[in-house]
Amino acid sequence: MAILKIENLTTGYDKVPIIKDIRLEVPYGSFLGIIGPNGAGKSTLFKAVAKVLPPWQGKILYKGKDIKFIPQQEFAKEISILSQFQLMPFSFTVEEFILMGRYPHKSRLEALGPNDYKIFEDVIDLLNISRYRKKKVSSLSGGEMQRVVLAQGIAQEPDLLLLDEPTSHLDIGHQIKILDLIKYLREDKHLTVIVILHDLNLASAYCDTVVLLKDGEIFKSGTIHDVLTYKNIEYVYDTAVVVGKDPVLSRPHIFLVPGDALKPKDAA
Amino acid sequence: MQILKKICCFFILLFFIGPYPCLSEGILPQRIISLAPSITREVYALGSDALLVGVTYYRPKYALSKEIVGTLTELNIEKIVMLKPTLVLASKGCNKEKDVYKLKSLGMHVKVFDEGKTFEGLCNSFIELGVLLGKEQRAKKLVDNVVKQVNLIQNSIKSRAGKRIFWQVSSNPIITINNNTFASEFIRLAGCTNIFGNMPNRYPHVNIEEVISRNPDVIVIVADMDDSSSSPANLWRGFAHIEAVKKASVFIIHPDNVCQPTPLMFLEGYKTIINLLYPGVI
Amino acid sequence: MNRNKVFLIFIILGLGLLAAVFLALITGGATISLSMVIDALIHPQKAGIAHTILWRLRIPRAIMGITVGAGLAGCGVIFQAILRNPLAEPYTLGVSGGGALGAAISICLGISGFPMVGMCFAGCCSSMILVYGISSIKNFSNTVLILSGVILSFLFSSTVMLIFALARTRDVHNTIMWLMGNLSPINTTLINITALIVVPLLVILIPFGRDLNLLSLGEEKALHLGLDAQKAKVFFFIIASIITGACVAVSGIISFVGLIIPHFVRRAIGPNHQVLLPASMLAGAIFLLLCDIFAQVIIRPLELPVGVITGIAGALFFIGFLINSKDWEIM
Repeated sequence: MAILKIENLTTGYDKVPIIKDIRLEVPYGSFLGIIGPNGAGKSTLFKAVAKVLPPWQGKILYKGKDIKFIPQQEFAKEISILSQFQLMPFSFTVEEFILMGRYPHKSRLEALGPNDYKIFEDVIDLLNISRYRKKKVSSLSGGEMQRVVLAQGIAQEPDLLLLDEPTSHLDIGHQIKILDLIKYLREDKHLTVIVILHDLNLASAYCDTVVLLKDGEIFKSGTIHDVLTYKNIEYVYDTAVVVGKDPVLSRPHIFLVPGDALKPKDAA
Repeated sequence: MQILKKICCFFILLFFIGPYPCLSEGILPQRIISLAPSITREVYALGSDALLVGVTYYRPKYALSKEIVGTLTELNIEKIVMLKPTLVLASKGCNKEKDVYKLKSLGMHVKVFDEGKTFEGLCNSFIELGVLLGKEQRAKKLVDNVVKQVNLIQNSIKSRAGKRIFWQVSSNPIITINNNTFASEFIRLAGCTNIFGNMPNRYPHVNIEEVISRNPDVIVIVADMDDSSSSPANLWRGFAHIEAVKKASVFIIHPDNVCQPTPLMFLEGYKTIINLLYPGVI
Repeated sequence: MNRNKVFLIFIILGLGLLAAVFLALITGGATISLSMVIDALIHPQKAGIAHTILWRLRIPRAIMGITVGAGLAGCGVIFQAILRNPLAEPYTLGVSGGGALGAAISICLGISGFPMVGMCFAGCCSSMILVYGISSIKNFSNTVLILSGVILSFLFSSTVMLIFALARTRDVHNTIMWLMGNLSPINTTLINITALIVVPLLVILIPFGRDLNLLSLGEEKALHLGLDAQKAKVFFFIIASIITGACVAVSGIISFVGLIIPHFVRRAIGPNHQVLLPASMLAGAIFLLLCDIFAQVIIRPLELPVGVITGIAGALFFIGFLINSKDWEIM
């Protein structure tokens, strides 16, 4: 059975539909990448699954249950959603911030207990961030911040992890570290991961299956070998690429071709 | 171009129009504007109301038919100019200096009266107005009559004088007056003392605890309502230590009775207060 | 922040409040000796001038100081959190403007006492309802909330100016004096009613500290962590507006308490609203009591409007605070 099933989903903003008739099944334990050009509807789809945008048509089933009918707090116990990070006006410490991930498991009058603190300690050990637990979140670097945000999501103890471009604004070293961490967590915690990625090569390196969106519709979905072909990518992104093979992983690797390289070279 | 020239000519013409008909020695004013309600009353009292062409919005009932030239705070200068007054009467305390300056710079004859802070000053201003309007005799006669009545009352209360008064002009916050105000003349002429008379500013914001410990014999509250549910006198109910409360001497006076600095209104206000302080004297 | 530290903070603030209340009871406009105050305190049934001053004036005044101080500081924390803006304060969304309009209208109509406080509170509520109405069209986005609040403030203050232009001079003067804000215990019943409305609402708000934490992360993040953000925001907005409205109606516009107290407390103990909210309430009560004592004694027997003291003291402290802090601490 699928952990997440999207049936004929259409939604958008201000009466303009952005995504149309999306059908998708995400099996338990998969590592699904959502890719597509700007404006293809990746974030809209993400928001619909995150219960931020209500569906206009169709429905989204989580473990067979329409998410519309799952109370917000129950939803947060099951699914961690890490959207692109907004600046906070007030500086919580790393510890305070990560512990907020435990709120969905507590009623309002219930204080955090020893169990919550144990989960917190485990998470910061796992993500190797215990050395800055007392630091202010706003004083962290981009890479540290992304780890802390991820730690909060893990502290929620979810079954499904939704990530919106976790590697944006990170250098390549941190990009790899954070995706390695996500991959490790998926195995360690038996998570299902759905991630929006801009970088097709990162998607290729980490995801098992990908969904390629174009103009609000699923252009192609399936394994990376099926989807990441030069035909599909050239058509959807409207740019020339060469798809080769990754020498280490034997996965598709996309080489970008600058526009003027295609022009016939002048004799002059 | 033609139009532009016409506009220029118009403005140049405007510049040369005026100055306004000025008042020279010995010629009586024909068109008067009063910029303060108390002055309006005085003009009526002198019987010169026919000359009055403009008054401010808050005016006595008998002046309702006169043209309005704005409120004390917001004068309509253009209207005043339109009415072509030969004399504008203003009050130093009521009108803004800025407005008076503006009117003067427009070439108008503006007479500014001192705000009456004493009974005597009030009477002098009134006579001065009488002189301006050519009614000196009438003004003097009126003043003499008022002074005579005040003296008469003063003599009849001499034996009972000496009460200590708290004069309250606002209840939230509590604001009183010092001896340098028009209303303090009532207290002085009633043979009483103001418990906050020697405060440095004219309308001091005092602490309620201080009022209680100064223990006034009489509390006079100036307020323009007296419906019992929200009466400002309720404030003092239950402070049984205060002499005024003990003797049921907390009175409410309508501001129109005590805030109109003209000799006649002063006499009215004075009588009202004497009636409250010494019932049966008048 | 560990438990012991939190415990210590509340012990200190609690003792501070007790000290401030004690100071407020032994000082005031009149000079009464300490022994007389204590005597009056121990024997509530006795009569005497010290007794009257203590029970009829100083105790109600202290209750009012605590209520208004705690109310404004607590609402400041709430508005800063839900609007995610460190410059927000209880008056940002136009509540005070509505109150001022209500007060100006009632002063000019010659209404005073209870009906005036009622009018003033109605003014506060009307501004709240207008802001609610305008922003509900746009899903209560922060920008729309702040903009509609600011615009309504302008609308109300212009309307007050309109009334000033048409009103009698003495009414204008009375309104301005009222606007400056003071804690004079004019009507004990009124003070008790206000305290009975505001204090329970404040207590109800304390357990919602964690919702404020979530909202301060942004609505979307709050939603992802299990909070129905929009509902929570509307809830806080309404409760905080009612508290602010009650404070404004009973004491006029006391500036700066709702802005600086949350900042100081946040700097001292961090932004965790579960601690910040109650600590700010206590600190606000202490601050207002002290300012009020100062306002009463500095030019005794004259009194200064306490709003003036809080404004000046607050601004001076705040400038020093800004100069002495690092960028990230200000936030």
